[in-house]
Amino acid sequence: MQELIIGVLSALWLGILTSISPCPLATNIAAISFIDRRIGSTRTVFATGLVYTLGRMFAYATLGILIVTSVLSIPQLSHILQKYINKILGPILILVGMILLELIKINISGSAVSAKMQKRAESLGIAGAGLLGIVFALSFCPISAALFFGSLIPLSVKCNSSVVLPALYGIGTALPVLLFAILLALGAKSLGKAFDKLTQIERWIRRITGVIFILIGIYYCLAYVFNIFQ
Amino acid sequence: MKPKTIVTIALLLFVGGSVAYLITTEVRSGLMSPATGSDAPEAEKPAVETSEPAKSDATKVVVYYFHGNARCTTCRKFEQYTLEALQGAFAEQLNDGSLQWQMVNVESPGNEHYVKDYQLYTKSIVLAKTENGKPAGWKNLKEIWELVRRKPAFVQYIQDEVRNCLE
Repeated sequence: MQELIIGVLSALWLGILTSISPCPLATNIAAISFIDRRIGSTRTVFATGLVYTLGRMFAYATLGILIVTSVLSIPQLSHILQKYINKILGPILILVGMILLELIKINISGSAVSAKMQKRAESLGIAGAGLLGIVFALSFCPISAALFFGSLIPLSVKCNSSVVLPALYGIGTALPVLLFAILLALGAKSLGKAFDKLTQIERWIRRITGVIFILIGIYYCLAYVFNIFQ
Repeated sequence: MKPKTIVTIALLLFVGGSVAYLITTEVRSGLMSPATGSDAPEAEKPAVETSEPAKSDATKVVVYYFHGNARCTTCRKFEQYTLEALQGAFAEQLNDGSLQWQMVNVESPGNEHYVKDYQLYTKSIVLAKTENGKPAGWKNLKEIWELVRRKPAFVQYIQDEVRNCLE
């Protein structure tokens, strides 16, 4: 029992360590800005953050199952994820940023946007946060690979927990992002209400989010596709 | 043309160019790898950066630093601190070849086997020992990730492990 409690706390701590280490900072900033773009509704911010966390939990738990049941070998899986996911992440981030900036338009509702359609677009945004959580979780960099494959997986094997500990690690990786996003949203909301400019602030946050996504996407393309920071 | 349209076109071209470059390099490296096995000609053998060549028959320790194409700040510190640790305490062994330093890019064609050989899951420092030309074990120095923020402890760790391995 004591071993399990230590395992649970260690998994959470390893996740928090991953999220605050310098290397995954770029994707964490993108995640915070994505979650925060609908500051008008604290409920939406919370739901988006929760789904983002669930996405990360799902990705790490799936990896945990595949590794612990020996379907995949750690070195090859880690190598493939580090090599390819980071490479495709750049173009994906740029395209998402372009959608947020409305440079590319996805026509959901035609000319008149009904309330139903607006709701659907919102739920698509929340589902997008889940997808983002999965992709960001799988984009391993050296330090997150060392913490996940080198520390968490041996811990999961030791505690015989292929799902729970990796899932808790996922919560840990999302926890600071989630807390920071909610604090920012609450701050911006009260500021917006005070000046009666909530819609305007939302519009600007959405634009800033788009620009952040594009800049991080360009960085990922230059670093991992063109290898210019060798 | 509106500035918005110019930005959109520029970004789409950048995305398209990145994807095209990615596919081209992957296809090219896929075509190159079969030629770089152990029977490949000298000029085509996988590139590794090494220190002085070792004498063949005695005990030899190779200190490998495995990295990929993208080099993060922490990964550069591994290289710098390890080299400092080796040059500071094992200059003689580096000169006579009983200790060797090798930097290996595991993403270079032909170097992929190191991932399997040494069970690598991230950037790593590995000590590989040979006795009379035959492999006599290896060790992945996993504590480098914990010690990288404390340089003296990192250097001490590398020196202790190398000393143990050379004995």
